[in-house]
Amino acid sequence: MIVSVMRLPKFVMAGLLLIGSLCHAQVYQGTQLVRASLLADQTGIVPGQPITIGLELQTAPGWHTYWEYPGDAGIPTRIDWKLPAGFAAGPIQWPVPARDDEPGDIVNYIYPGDVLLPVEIQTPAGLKPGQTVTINAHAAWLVCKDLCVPGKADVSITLPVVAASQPANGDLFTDTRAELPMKGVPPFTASWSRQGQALVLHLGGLEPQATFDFFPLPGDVQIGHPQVMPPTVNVPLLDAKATPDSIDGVVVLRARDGSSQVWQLPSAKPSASISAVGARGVASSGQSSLFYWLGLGFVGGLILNVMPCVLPVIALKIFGFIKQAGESPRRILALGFTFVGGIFAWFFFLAALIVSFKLAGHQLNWAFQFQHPAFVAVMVVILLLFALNLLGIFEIVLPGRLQAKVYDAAGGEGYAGTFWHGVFATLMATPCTAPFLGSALGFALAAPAPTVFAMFGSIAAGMSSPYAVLAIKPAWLRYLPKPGIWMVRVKQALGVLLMGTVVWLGWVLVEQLTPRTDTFPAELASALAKHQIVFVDFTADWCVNCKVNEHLVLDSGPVQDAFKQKGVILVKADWTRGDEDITAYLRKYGRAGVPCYVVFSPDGRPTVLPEVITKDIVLDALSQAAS
Amino acid sequence: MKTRLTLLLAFVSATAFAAPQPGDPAPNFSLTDVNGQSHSLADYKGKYVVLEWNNPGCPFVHKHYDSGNMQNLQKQAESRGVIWLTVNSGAAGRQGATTNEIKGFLSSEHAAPTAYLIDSEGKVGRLYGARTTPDMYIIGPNGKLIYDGAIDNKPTPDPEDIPGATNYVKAALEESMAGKPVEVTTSKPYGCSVKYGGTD
Repeated sequence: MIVSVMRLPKFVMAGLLLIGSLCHAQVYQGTQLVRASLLADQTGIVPGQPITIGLELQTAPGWHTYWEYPGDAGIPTRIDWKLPAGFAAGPIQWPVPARDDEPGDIVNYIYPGDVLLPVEIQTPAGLKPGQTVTINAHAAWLVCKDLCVPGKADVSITLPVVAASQPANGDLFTDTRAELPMKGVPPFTASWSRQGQALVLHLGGLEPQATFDFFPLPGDVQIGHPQVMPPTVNVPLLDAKATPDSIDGVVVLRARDGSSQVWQLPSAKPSASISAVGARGVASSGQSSLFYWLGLGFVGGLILNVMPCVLPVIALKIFGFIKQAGESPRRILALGFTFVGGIFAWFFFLAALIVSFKLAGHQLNWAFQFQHPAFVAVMVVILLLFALNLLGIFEIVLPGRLQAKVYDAAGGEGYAGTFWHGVFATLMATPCTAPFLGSALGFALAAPAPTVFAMFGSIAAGMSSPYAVLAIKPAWLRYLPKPGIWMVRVKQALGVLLMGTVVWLGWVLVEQLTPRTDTFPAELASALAKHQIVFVDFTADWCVNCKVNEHLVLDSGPVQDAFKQKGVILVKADWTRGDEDITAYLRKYGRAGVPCYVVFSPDGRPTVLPEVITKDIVLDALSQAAS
Repeated sequence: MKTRLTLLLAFVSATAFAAPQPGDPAPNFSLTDVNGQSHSLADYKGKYVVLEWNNPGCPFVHKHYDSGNMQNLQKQAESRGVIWLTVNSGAAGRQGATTNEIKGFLSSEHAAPTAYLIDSEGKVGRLYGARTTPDMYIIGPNGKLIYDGAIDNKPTPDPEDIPGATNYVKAALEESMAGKPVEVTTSKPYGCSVKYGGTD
């Protein structure tokens, strides 16, 4: 066996800056097996700022190197850094591997082709622009095909010290980061139990036919081959004396449309910070089932009633109830349930739409209807009619018969009017992803048809429950104020409020019709390359909850101060028109819609925050990302 | 298709699970050595037996042979009456499985096992759940498994790591022969995969 190492200097021009990288080829019996080199994600080192250096192993076709846990055979790639004083290297950030089954029940976790192993390097603040820094590392790996050949190389990279750097090797680092496990609260629950000579991992909150892969990180625990049988993973323990409660691992969730998410399994011992993150933290701490999600949907639906974007419309209906207080209980019951029927009708219509789109193989997202200008335009007209009606202008503008028809359809107090009120209230509700609803919807959008209907039904039930209660117990209406002249004033006030909504939707429409290019993925990539905390605000013009969060939390003094103090880079992902790139990112973080907030630590690991954020949640997430 | 795969996985994993654990009776087997002579585990009842999985082409095997580490262990053990059976479960046509390669390896490395057994069908390898080369097993005089796993605690192909490593096989043999409980009875073996035949 002959293993010789060749030295090939390689120079890369990036802008005006020269980046020197010394790369090595591992040659075995005349064939180059591995080419090793160091790559940086920036064109230069900014004093005191971290930089990510990746060991790139380019392997010959058919040959593979190994993951952090190599499986039955093989060994993981190792990097020993030789850094100048004041520099410090973090751990290897391992992209998700592939599972390789060999004859004889041998399972390995491998990188079947080229791989980049990123490592974050801390740099000292005392560097002076104009200097150059050489970073050296000794890398050792095992490369196998049918046979194995160990390889090692001394690799180095020389970087200029600069005042400001540009991203380098963007695609390679972006692609690799997409394969790194995400930390934070995943869109599933994980619980471990011991069953005889095996540990059983149960993933809750997945669709029944969900597919996922599990890549174990057993540490010192000796394990057999994890068997994935959704929703469980059976991990045989090879040492009868071992008593672990759980092992670490990586879960790759695969959606039917081929998209996937890589999640680091949450630690079995729930940390205080995760449970403090709120609704989704609750989901991760225990076992869950469809009923859990349905319950969440119900509560979410109930809360929708007080969300900023529904409130004006709901006020309308409450108003209607007050007016009806004098009428017969039977009529109130009938009207109440007509309204509820309207709510259910819209939600089931949405569910049917989602199921049919899914059957046709399309990707859908929540509030998708608000991304189409035509829909927004129609909504503007309808709401304008509502508002004019409330303001008492309606009657003057339209001739008698048409007015009666439209009034009856849009704002009348009859059954049809009430039904449509229910529909419109819900229509307005959809862009507001209420607390709890975000994760529940994320779950529903990925679920099979019956679950989608059950889920939307339970949201509808939650949203309509106050009206159902009032319709059944009209006596409780007496707790609402008596009709009188004040009603005209309130009606006008509501009309003004609704006009506000019309103006806002009109603005959304203008925004949607204005040509714009989406720069989010590029912005995110260049932000991540700077190795600071990155805060991504997924928002949309039509998302009132987003605006409320931005106004009350993100723009608040303490949060703004923390952003400044920690050098947080803010990236806005504007989903007003439902750009597919942003949709893909939302799905990656287990979300169906906005608001969605993702905090990246300087080493590029994302944490997903809940839909409704508080200052504390954001500040906690920032300090966690900083640590 | 998916069901079949799941069943297959379940079956495969069940077979892996049936491999003996330390404390279990070591299953009997009979194999022919590289010189054509037949050996049965039952022949060595009442003696310590070491099973060493081997592939003459594997760099991890070379780590322990080129450095003399494995031969020293063999000689030390055999001087105390231990039977050392080196086993090659590589299938015909895969790396390190021809008689010529094996004989060349034994002579050039001055290897000194009691016998070098040929298991080209992989039956004994699968029976014991051998996964890597090297993968080490110790069977006590009572016929029970004392140790299975790696040769030492430094899973690298680098011979320079041998002097600082704890040799689990040496330690288990010494402890067991001294009548003491064996501290490490199992560890994760490291090395190349055993080059079994057949498809998955």
